Amino acid sequence: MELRTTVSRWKSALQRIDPTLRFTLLCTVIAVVFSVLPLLQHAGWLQVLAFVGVTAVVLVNAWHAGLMAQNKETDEGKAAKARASTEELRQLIVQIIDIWQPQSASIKAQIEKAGMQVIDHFSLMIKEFDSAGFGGVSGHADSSREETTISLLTMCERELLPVLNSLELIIRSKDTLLDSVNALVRETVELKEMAAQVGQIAAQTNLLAINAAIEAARAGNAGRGFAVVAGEVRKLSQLSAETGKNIGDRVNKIGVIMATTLTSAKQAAETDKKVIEHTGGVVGNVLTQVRSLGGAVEEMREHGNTIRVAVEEVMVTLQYQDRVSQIIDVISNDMIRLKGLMESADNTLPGLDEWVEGGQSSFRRHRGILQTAPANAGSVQIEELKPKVDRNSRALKAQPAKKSIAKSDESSDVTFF
Amino acid sequence: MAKTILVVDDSASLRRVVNLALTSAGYEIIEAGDGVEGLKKLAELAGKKVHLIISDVNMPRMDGIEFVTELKKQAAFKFTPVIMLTTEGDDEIKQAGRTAGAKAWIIKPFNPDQMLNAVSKLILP
Repeated sequence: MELRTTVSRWKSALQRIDPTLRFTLLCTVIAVVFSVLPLLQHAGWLQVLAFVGVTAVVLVNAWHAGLMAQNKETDEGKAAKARASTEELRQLIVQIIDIWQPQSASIKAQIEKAGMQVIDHFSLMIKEFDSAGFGGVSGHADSSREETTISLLTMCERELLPVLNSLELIIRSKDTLLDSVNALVRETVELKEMAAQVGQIAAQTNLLAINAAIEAARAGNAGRGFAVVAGEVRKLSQLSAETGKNIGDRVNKIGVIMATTLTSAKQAAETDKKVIEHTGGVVGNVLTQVRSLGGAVEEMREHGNTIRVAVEEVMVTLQYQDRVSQIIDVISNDMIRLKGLMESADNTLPGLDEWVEGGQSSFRRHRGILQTAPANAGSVQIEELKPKVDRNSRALKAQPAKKSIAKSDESSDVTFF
Repeated sequence: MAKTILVVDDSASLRRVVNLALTSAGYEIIEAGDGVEGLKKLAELAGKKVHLIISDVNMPRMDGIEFVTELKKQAAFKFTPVIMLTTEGDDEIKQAGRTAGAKAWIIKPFNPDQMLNAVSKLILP
């Protein structure tokens, strides 16, 4: 087994020797063996052994010298090859950076453009939203239109309610008027009776005057004066009778007119009542519709508020486009630096810390985030930094991944100096 | 009359978001892409009053801290309140902002309500 291993090792060692060297060594061995063959017939075994030993040492030395020369040539070749590879790698990196740079600029431009378009669309949405009367996205926007709608509905209710009350009042006042006319008719009847009584009194007075005149005639000269008085009383009673008759006639006429008035008033009251009740019904319906509309507006406002909060969240989320752009700037800047490094004659490469600190100060922190974060830092960073908007308080609770920012957030996202 | 606010940020989309939040509250907005453009816009205002300035920190050409430092050297803007709006949250950079003359520090991403609260607290009458 060991013999086989040794043979195998020798075989591989021989195969590694340059073919020219191998041929030279073989020729030398053959020449030496053939030249000393006649001498070996007279030599003893010690001389033969010494000859073989010396020959072996010479051959091993020659072999070793050949190997060394060959190794030297191989190392120089490898070094040259490595130098060529490094140069090729540098050129490749420079060429790739030349391709990547416009691509990263294009990505940034496209993200910026898309972000602007989204913002514009949302801006338009918010304007339409405001026009529809649901206030602005910020919650501080001019909500006069919404207020106007609500105020209009409130005003409608406020104005229509008294109208309804007024209509009821009119119905009641019509009833009062009718009662008054009825009372007037009753009074007229009483007046008629009173006129009749005046007529009776006049008739009785006339009778009394006639009796007085008879008695005055019986008294002779002494009753002459009394007869004059009795005559005057009679005239007055006749006058009273005529007046009573006239009053009775007038009262009758008034009674007829009052009866007609009462009938007309009753008919008018009936008609007015129907009209007013109908009007009241219409006003009541309008009021119900206004209340219903008010409820719908309130409901729409609640939905509007939900949409507004959602739009606010989108507005917060859209700001990550800015961060992505900054990260792309850092990468682009690093590519420029890397290209410069590759094109320079200086072969010394900076360490990671030196590289991170080597950039412009304004982008150093972002570069720090990129360099120190794991491979998927971009997505992790954005996800962890995503703020949570509380739908009730709408308080922003950012959860930054960066330690220093988190420290700041422990107090507030807004720091006043 | 609407109050005027200068917004300085290298991200156009971020400026648009800030613009949207503030214009809906009735403010008039002037935009600038970096500190250099911000100073230029202020110089071009020709006497028009700027009631408040909102500035990013990380910007090309001239960053926010340098912008505020330059701004505060001008007598016209010595008392104009400045809000820094940035992704930065380190105490060190915050202190730099405070030293430069900023009155508030808001970390992106910001909530429009928070922004408006800060603006209404600081804006000049």
